[in-house]
Amino acid sequence: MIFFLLLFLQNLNDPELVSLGEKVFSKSCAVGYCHGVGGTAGKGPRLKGRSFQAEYVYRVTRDGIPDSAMPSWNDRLSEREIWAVVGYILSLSDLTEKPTDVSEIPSEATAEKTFFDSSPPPTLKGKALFFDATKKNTRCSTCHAMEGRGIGIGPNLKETAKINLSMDRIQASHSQHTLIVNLQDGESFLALRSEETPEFIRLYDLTLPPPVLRSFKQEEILSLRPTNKWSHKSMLANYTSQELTEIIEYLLWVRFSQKKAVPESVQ
Amino acid sequence: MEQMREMSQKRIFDCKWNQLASWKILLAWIFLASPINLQSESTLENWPHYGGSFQFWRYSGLDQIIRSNVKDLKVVWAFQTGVVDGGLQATPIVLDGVMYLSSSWNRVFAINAATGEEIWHYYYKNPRQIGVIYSPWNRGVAVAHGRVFMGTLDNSVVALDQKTGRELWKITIEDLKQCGCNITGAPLVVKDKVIVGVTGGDSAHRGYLTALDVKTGRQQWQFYTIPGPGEQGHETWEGDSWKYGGGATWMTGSYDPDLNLLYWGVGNPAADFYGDSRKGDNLYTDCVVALDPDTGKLQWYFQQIPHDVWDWDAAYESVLIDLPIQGKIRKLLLNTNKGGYTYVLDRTNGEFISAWPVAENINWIQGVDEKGNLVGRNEPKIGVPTFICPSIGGARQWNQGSYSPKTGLYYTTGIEWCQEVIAREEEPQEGQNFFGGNFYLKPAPNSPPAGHLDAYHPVTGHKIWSYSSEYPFLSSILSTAGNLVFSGDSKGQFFALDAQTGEKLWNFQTGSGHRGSAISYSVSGRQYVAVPSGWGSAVAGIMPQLWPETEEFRAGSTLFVFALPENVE
Repeated sequence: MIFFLLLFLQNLNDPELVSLGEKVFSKSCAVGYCHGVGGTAGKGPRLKGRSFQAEYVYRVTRDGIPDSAMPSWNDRLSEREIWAVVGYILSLSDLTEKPTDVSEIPSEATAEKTFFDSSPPPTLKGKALFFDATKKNTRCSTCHAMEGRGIGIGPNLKETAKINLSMDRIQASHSQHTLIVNLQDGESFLALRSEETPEFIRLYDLTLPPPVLRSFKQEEILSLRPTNKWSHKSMLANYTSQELTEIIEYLLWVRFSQKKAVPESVQ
Repeated sequence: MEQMREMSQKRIFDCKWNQLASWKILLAWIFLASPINLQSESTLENWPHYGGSFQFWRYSGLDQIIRSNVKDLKVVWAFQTGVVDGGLQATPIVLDGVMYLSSSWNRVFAINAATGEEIWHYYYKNPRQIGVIYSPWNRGVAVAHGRVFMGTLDNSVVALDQKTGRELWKITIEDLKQCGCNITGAPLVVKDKVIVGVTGGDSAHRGYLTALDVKTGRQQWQFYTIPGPGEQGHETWEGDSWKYGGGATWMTGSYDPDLNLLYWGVGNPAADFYGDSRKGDNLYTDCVVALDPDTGKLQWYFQQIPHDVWDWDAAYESVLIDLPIQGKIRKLLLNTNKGGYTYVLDRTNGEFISAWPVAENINWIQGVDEKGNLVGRNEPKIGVPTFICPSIGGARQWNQGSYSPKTGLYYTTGIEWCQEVIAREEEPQEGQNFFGGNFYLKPAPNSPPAGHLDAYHPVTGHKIWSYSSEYPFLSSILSTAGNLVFSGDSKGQFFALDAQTGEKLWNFQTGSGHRGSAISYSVSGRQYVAVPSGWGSAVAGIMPQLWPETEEFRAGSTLFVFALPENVE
């Protein structure tokens, strides 16, 4: 047991690991107003001169702290980089608590992770286009979430396997859930239903992107009718056909369990 | 360094002071400056906008509380928001005897402004993982058209029914997880639009200002602070740097109803300390922009710091004042930046009038010339510590100044502190931190770190008086027609100064440091002064690097309301 503890401590104290941790910490944790250079002080707690359990620091770094500004670094740092940060933070502290587990530190350095690195190269372009900020409010992610990003107001494109993802269908598509709303005050707009109680109804107003979640008393509504008036056409004006093809490739990749499976029909 | 500072001071002194005929003219300006349009720029029973008025004076025309009776002020009620994380940074709004107060984590309260009884509350449901550094505070709401508007930690805007607090609409401007940005500043309602800024200036993000329809929430226009391909100013960005160049609009703007111009300060370019991958002036970062509020179209801009590599921002408030310059009344705009200079512009066209420093320790430039150009830049270097004053916290923090038409003086705070900065090459990753370096706070070479609250002539920057503290003042300033200046310090003291002399007249220990903004209002003829108390925030967080004891300063989140006893006139 003692042997294992020593081994673990040695691992976390490994100068190479601590040095990597310092580098990652400097760029990710010390910046701006967070933990300060060398963990000295910031909006986040001071880390220098404090005692932490390795497991605790690892968990907080990996998962973040809910209801706080501490983010999870799981999707941005590799497992080894997270452990390296743990090693570096412990090197700053008065280590009195002895950590117990050794097996989880990956031995090889891995490249820095980014959101876009998680896709295989052939679909990278479509993914970037799906989330392309230069398309402003007409980017796909204004209304659709994918892989945990974007605003999931529109259909979940990963799960709606029934939708035929062909170019024509996308351009012409209209949701069967789209409603035309007439209010008592004369206003009329296209909407998606969000939620409803006997007293209130909440609707996504689709007049202009991004959609607005509006709440009405039931008596403010004159009528709600299904409609096929809404289509993707105006939203897609900022994408070329080539770009849309690439986006479809990306969607198919996500749908088919992240296997590259692009049917020949997609052209 | 000291020599540089003196040179800098002298340059300002030389180029501006000589334009004045004499002291007598200055004194005449100060004491005879007629209170122009007092009705609109100052507030009375209401505190309708974040900055008091559209002109952002933070000046109350109420004069029941004066020098001789301020010592009799008593707490008449206090209100606890129940969440101390991030302190209490808001400015309350008061309309017709009802106060609207927001706190960290996007809580909103409607409170009887005379009794402190809660009328309704609204707790916004934020995602449990915010994960951006610009959180969890909120700096205020806007109230108009029967609605209360608030920006949220997940980059949405909500409109609440003013009477019940019921949510009427909500729009998410952009996905927080993608943009690494959100909304902490108070919105501004101009006519039928609610205009709201965005954070993200230290993230790889392209900033904007958004206008929404007050009734439906639909987006009416969006002004990108970084011009895209084909737009004028795009050429001031190298390569793809415009996509990730910052330019946040994280504070609240001003509005001139006569000129129908909206003024908004734009923050620093990103990466903050590393500029080699964004060669050029980087428009419209560090600019005050004037927009047509109906269309969002740019009318003019003035860039204070081309190619900023210090994270200085010009994002703070713009104070709109009309004052004589060489015998002619000019429509002016005052904007103090984080680098420590107050810029005075002609707000009809953006013409530079003057610039003057609010701190002693400024070495990132030697000064500003008579055309408004920076002289002698001291830029951070890659991999090597560079000593720079002020610190990243700024020669002034965001907490706003105040203009009193009664004294003709502009009140603002200043901070004496420095830092070592090491710049670092950095590739942007969309929505992630993008600082391009690190800093560590250091004291100035010849004086201990300190804060001060000062009274200046608004155009020349001539200092009339100064009130100092061992810590930075991180609270906004309120001035009143009772010839008083109110503010709070980092140790929890809320105090009143004589607006003409700076003499301390009264103080009250609120139990936690001040990061918010005091206001004054009246209900049934009784004047009240309200102040948020509650230590917290990013800048409070880095203070222990210079003042280790501040790590132990207690958080809080309580609004205190003061008035004179009812039998005292």
